[in-house]
This record gives sequence, structure tokens and C-alpha cells, in this order.
Amino acid sequence: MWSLLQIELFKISKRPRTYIAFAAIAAIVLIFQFAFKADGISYVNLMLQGAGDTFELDKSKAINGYFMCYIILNTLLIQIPILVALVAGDAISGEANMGTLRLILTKPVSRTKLIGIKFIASVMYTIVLLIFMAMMALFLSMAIFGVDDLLIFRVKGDESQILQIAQIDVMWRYVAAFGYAAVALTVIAALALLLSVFADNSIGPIIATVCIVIACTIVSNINVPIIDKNIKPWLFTSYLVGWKGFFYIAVDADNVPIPGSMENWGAIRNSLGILLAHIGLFFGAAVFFFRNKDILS
Amino acid sequence: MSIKVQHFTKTYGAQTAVNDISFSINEGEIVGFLGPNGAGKSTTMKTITGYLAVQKGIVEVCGINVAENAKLSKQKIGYLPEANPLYVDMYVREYIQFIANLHGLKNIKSKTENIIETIGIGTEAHKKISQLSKGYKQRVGLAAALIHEPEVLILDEPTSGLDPNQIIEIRNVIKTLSANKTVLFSSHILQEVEAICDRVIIIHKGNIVANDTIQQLQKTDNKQQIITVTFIENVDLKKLQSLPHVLEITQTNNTYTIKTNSADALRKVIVQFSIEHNLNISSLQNQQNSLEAVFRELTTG
Repeated sequence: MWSLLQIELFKISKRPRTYIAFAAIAAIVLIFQFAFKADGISYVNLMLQGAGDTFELDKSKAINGYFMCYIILNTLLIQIPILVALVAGDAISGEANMGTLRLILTKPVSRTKLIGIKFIASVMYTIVLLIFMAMMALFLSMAIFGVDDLLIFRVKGDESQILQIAQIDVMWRYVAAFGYAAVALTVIAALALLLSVFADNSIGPIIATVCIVIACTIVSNINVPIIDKNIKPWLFTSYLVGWKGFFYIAVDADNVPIPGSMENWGAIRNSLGILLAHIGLFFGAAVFFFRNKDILS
Repeated sequence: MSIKVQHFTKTYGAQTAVNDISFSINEGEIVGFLGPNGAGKSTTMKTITGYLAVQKGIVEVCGINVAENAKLSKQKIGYLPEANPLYVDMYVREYIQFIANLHGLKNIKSKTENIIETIGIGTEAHKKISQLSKGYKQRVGLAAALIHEPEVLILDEPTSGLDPNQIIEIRNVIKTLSANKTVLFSSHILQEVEAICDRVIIIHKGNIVANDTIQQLQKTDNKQQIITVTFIENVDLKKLQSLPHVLEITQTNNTYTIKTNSADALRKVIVQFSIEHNLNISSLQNQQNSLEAVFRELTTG
């Protein structure tokens, strides 16, 4: 088992496409950091337009490492599914294309074990990707911009809100957010793996995964009551940005943030449950179809 | 019985790839598995190796039912697939150890070194597989097929794409290593099959059309026989054509190749003819039907 996993990770490490994700993340993060270092105040001014009159703050301190990480995650966590699909979509189909799937399946290794290992390898890749993202977006930003309280600009219904989280109360939220993102991205990995079972080349499942994510994201953003009620709750894309919930701090009766609190832990727990159910569904289907598939490549 | 296939049928949708075939291979036999492309031989081999499901019928390897206990039957089989897929980014030694790991072997290092030496890839073992010639890649594939000392060896076109020297090298390696093993060997190079195999199974359109020793096939499966006669003198072709039992005749210098429906009768006629016309025969022989001719006759139309 360990040997198979080692080889799987080795194969992933040998593919150039694996590093596309790291290069893309590094480039995007560095561009963000450069832009905010050069002219971050303008962004803060723009965000404060709605609430500026009632909220006093030191704008120069608003742009700190925690704030930068939040901004970057907001953008990147929507794009990263594509990068995960690049690797997970290739897991079975890439081997089918090379003919090595046949080689492995003539050895005394069960198909369930084989696809399980491929899934674990894809999840490990996703986690490494997130750790790299954390290093770049959080720790590098902390080194460049320093650390202070985190200000979050939030649109809730018709009103704009600014939430302030004390710097001592931020780090655990990032750990939780990255953990949540790992679960959310594992859904993408499981979906890409499932599609990979049906193909003999990598391009098909990668593109299909991306198309499904885009289509479901669009549906998730359509604000029509019938869709809100009947479709959105079942779409995994409705929960991909659920990590933000860890930063929506609860306030007391005087509107003072309560340290260590979250506005709606129940919603986050519910989202995690639905994402885990999707992982089970996609991975279970992948195992079922792979076990019953004739390998003709 | 090392391999037993009984009433095996495989369909892909509406298309029948293999239609109710049965054959068996005894322990230690080397059997050639022949057929045109699309005849069903790869499907049969894939099913024996356990990665195509047995739809209908029984497939057994060393007495183990492949459908019921695929994992155990795979331990008995060494398989070199067509086109020999390899992880080309891996080093030779690393790759063989990986395959040994898949088989759950113990003493992997010593077993790897043994097989590297036996197959003759010691000088290449430190290289990446992508750096090897096609002949050496094929040897690596064979090493991977043999690392767990299987009882049954299944070789799907093992010399395909190799140059003549490499073909001879790989053929010798196969001959040496297949001692005491049951071998099912598929190839389109019929001379190779003649050189290596004890018996031949020919499959055509999903059905077995021949299953016999090569000698027996050459004797029985051609309706026409051929005699080659060489005279010291030049002979009038028309006179030879008029002899009884001659169906068709071609001349090359003083050598005449004659198709006949009765080789024994024609030989007597030719001897009589030479005496009557005061001719000297320098050679007179039955030409055996080549395996190629047998194959063509059984698999065309």
C-alpha cells in the first residue's frame, strides 16, 4: 500500500502539469502583494466608501498580512479547483493513455485499493497545494506587511459591513479556513477522479471537471427563489466559499466582536457535511465504475 | 493443466469478440496464439491475465478460477503486454523493485539483482527506462513479468517493433527463461512461432480454427501439396505440365515447383519420366507447407 502510494506521488511529482499550479499560485500571490504594497490604500478607500463615515480606522494598519491573505484567498480559492482537476483528472485516464493501467491491473492489486491510493495521492497533492498557498499568501504576506487586526468588508443582504477581528484571534481562523478549503477541494478531486475513470486520455476529464464546476458555480449564483430553494442546497459549488464563515465573527448586543466566536457555526458544519457527502458520492461512484470497467486501452 | 479455457465468450455491446472457445495448455508447454488483428486473441489473453471480466465460460490458471480469485491467479502469471507499457521516468532497478512490491515479495533487493543478472540488463540497471533502447526496454518488461517466478508466462507480441538483432536476442532470452514454465505466446512473426512453440492455436473471428502441433498443421491443413524437382538438364515445361497429378508448375532455371493433389503419386511419375527421357534428377523433395500458408488458408475469407 505504502509502496503504491509512494509511486503514485512520484508519478505526480514527475509531471510538468503538477508544477503549473504552484507557478500560477506564486505568480498571482506575488502580483497581489506587489499591487497592495504599491497602492493598497486606494483599495481600502474603495471598500470604506459605504461605511467610512461611521468607522474609524488607521488605513495603513488595515493593510497587513492577515488582510492580504483574506483578499488573496477570496480570489484564489475560486480558481484552484481547475488546478486540482489538472492532477486528479489525469489519475486513471493518464495511466490508461500510457497503457500502464493494464500493467498494474495484471498484478495482484485490487482495483479498489488502486483507485483508493490514487484518490489519497490527489488529496495529498491538494493539501500540499494549500500549504504552499498558505506559505505564500499568509506567511509571506505577514513578513512583507506585518501583522495587525483583520478587517473584513462584507456585503450582507443590502448592507455593507466591516468586521474587525483582533490579531490574536485570527490565526486559528486561517487554520480552520485552510482545513475547510481542503475538504472543498477534495470534492473537486473526487469528481475529477470519477470522470477520469471513463476516459482514456487526460484532457477529457480535466475539461469536463472544469465545465461542471463553472456550470454549477453559475447556477449557485443565480438568485431566483425556486433555484435557491430546490437546487442550490444540493450543489457542492454553493459551499466552496464556506470557509469565509470562520471570519464572520459574532457580535454582542453592543455590536462588539466576541473573541473566538463565529456568527453561524451551524451553517459551516452543515456545509462541511454536504461537502463530505459529495466526496463520498463521487468517490463511491468512481470505485463502483472502476471495479466494473473493462480496461481496453 | 496450467491454463484452461472452457466455453469462453466475450462481447462488446452487440459485437462478439470471442465466441464460445475452449482450449487448454499443459504444464511446461509453449503454445503460440495466432490470429489476424481483431480475431479475439488479445481479448482472450487479457481475460486470462484477469483485467477483462469473464462474461461467460470458465477461465482457470493453475486450477484457480480467474473470475472467482483474480488476485491469486495473478500471482501465478507473468505477463508481458503488447507494446510493453513502462513507467519511463523510473530507473530500471527502481521499476523492478516497484513491481516486486506489487507482488508483495520478500527479499526484494536480492530478487531484483537476480533477475537483472538473469535477463542481462546489469549494465543498464542504473539508467532511466526512457534512456534504454527498445530491446532493453523489452528485457525490463520481461524482468518485471518474471520477478515473482510465475508458473505461467503470457507474452503478447514480445518482439513487435524490434530490429532483427534484438528479435534474436529477446527470442533467446524467452527460450532460456521459459524452461519449466507454461508459455502462451502471441506473435505475428510466424517463423518465430515455428522456432519457439510446441503447439499453435489459431483464432479467427472469435473462433478457434486450429489447435495442433506445427508439424501436424503443416501436414494436414493444406489441400494442395508442393513438390520441388531439379534436373541437371533443361526440360520442356509443356511435357512436365502434361504429366498426371500436376496442377500448376513454375520454373526457375532447372528447378520446377509443382503443385499437386497427390505428392506420393507425382514423385513416382517424375522418376518414371526422367528414366524415359534420359534425364538426371539432382533433387526431388516434398515442400512442407509453411505455417504462413496454413495461417492464410485458415484466416482468410
